[in-house]
Amino acid sequence: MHRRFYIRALTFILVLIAANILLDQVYKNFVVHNILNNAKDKDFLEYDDTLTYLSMGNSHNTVNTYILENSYNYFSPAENYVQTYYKLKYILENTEKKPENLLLYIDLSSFGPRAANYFEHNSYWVKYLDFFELARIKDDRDVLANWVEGRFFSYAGNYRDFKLSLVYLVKIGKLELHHGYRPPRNFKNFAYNKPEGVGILSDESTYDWSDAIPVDSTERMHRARQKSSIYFAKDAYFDSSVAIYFEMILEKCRQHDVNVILLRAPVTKEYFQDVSQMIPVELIYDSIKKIYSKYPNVIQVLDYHDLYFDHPEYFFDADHLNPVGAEEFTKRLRCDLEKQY
Amino acid sequence: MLFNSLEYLIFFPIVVALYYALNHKWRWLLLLAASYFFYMSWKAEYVILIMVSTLVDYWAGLQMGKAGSRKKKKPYLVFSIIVNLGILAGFKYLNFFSDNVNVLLGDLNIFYRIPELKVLLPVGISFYTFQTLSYSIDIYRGITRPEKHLGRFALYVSYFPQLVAGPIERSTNLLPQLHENKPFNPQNLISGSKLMLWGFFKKIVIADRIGIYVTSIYANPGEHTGLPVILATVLFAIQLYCDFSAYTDIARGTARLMGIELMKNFNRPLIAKSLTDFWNRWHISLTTWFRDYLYFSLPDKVGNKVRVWRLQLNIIITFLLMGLWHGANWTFIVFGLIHGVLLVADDLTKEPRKVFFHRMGLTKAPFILNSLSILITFSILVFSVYFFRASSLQESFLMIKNSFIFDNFSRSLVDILKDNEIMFAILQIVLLLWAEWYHSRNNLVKVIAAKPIWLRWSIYIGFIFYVLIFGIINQQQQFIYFQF
Repeated sequence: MHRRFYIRALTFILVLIAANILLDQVYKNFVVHNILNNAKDKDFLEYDDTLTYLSMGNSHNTVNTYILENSYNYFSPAENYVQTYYKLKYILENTEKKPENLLLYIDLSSFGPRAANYFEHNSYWVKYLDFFELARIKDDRDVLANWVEGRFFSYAGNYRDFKLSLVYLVKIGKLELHHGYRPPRNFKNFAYNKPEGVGILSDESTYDWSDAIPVDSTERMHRARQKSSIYFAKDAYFDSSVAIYFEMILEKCRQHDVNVILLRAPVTKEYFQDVSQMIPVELIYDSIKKIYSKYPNVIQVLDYHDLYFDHPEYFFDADHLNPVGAEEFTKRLRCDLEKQY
Repeated sequence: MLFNSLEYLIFFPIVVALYYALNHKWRWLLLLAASYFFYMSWKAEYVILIMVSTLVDYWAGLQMGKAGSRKKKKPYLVFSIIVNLGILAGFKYLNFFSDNVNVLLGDLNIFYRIPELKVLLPVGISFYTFQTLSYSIDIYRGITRPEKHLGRFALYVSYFPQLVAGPIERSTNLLPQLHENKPFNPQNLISGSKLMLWGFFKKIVIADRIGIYVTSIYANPGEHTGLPVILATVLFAIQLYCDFSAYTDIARGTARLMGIELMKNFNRPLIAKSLTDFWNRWHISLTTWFRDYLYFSLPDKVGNKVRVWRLQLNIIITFLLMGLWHGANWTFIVFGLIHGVLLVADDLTKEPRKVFFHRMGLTKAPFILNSLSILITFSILVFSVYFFRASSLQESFLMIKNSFIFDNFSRSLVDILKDNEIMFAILQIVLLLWAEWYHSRNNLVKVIAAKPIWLRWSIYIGFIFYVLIFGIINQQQQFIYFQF
């Protein structure tokens, strides 16, 4: 009776599935994050030097591997502890690589609500993450939607990635990758106004900001506020599920005899002041300390958050170093690590 | 289980498929089991509250059916009201009441504290309580007959598409449909799916996108001033509409897939020309509930005469309670009070306004007059949602005060203009308003349906992917009205 309807409905569904597969594949193969992350995975597997330091985390990780020898910078954008844990687990259990030390960032934002609940680039992470275990630990079945997105609907909700990829794919050929290190972005500077002609498409790596017009302290406060309000809210600053995964990383390292060096990345003075007004910083530091104190394999805690309070020009934005800042920072880090050994 | 969750996207097609596979005789059982499963996926034990409410009203309904006269029916009605409102008060308002009494006792230097009840607010309690209450009152008034089938009555109370956020259905509409044999009709499937898709567009493309900005401002009250606060509040008014009407669309769409027609809950409220007009278009199932079961029941006479001031007082009382219905917080009471008082003012100034508009020559320019009326009504809505959105009265007043501090105006404006997400959200709102306007005149659904199949399918498939690509998928947000 409804034969015509059934045939049409079936055809419609088939067209829908075909279009979905097409879009999914286009996204997976075209989007810049996937290209870079996959390139880094390949590069890491081909790395055959001594691996004294494996540095993991998100874009706060600016360890320059030209300066810190025998190191690999395995950061990926917006990576959280959940993702770091599963990637580290994969490295330690499924590859021949065995780092002597893990450099792990313990920034305030790593424990905040954004890091806990915002899973980006699922089409890349789906190969590492055990979403079912994550759903159990977080006691949140909705997490499984990330798995479905990563597997079948990688484009869903990610229209910005298409836009960004169009821009960056033009530049990817010029971007270097040395032991995982790519120089941080440089088309903006926290301390200066952006001059005409400098932008996302310009050749940012060589840009010298010293000729640019400095911004006043009010503007810096404003820029800091824009960033801090992304990571934190009045009553949301320490997520217990993130803390569980932080501890799981430490435990995994202990099981595999990997030392852990914890770092706090440099941030701007204005950013830290703003964050301090918003959330109980000392309380969070204490909570983090309570966790890592239990692990004897945590051999060093290096707090650099205030290292460049007087150098706003070292920053791309309120909480990210630029190439100059990254270089200075890594020199200092190398020096501190050498003292340890 | 959220409508915009993976679980629901698996759950509802299975239920619909089984619904049509089953004989009509057993469909109520499937839907009842599905509805309880739907509710229990949130917090299993609270299904007991629904069961208690169901059994009490079922029994009270049957007793009222046997009783005959209103006088004899009354004890059963009172029993039903006491149990239902008792559950509602216990789980939703008791802590609010005790908090306020404790503050009062503290002010009077009486150091006794009423202990806090450690309970979680059951999702949708205000919705299903009001739905069952309307059934009892309708039987008492002789509008409807008691339902003899306990299973179908239980389904009326707990029917999953509208269980947690309405529309608050009347027994006269929903119960007969649950008895009817609904044969499979492709048109219902197509039409229901379109309605759901439109709901998803409003929820995940607009409401959730706006929600990110609104939350960033309201999560840190006191940190923002001027334009961002005003914009966040304006956007919240739109978010509230998109979020809630999206829920209704998805609920109605799901029900329609099974051949069941739920009542319309919204009728383009953002273009209301007065507050009275607004409440005729906004959350219609709740407004008509309060009108039929509360406002009409309040005494309007002093002596033997109907007094206007008494009617006006009744409006204020009704809206005050409607505000309180939303949540146990002074902010909702003030929200209701604002609307109640301004509705009375709307009524009182109707004639003088007409004269004023006439003298100003605006009656000859209906477009300007209508635009002005819409703008004023929307501004009142925005003002009232300062109270709806904030978590306390102090926060509401702070946000209102901060709205008038414009020391960073130009920078705020530049930030907003540079914010691609806000600009994109505004574009989507314009698209929504245009589509609603066009649909009201030409029936957009029919216009598309009349197109050749290749174009029609391109539009549908294109729109599905539009929602998927531009929707906020990663930062899934609960429907706002779930908390009520």
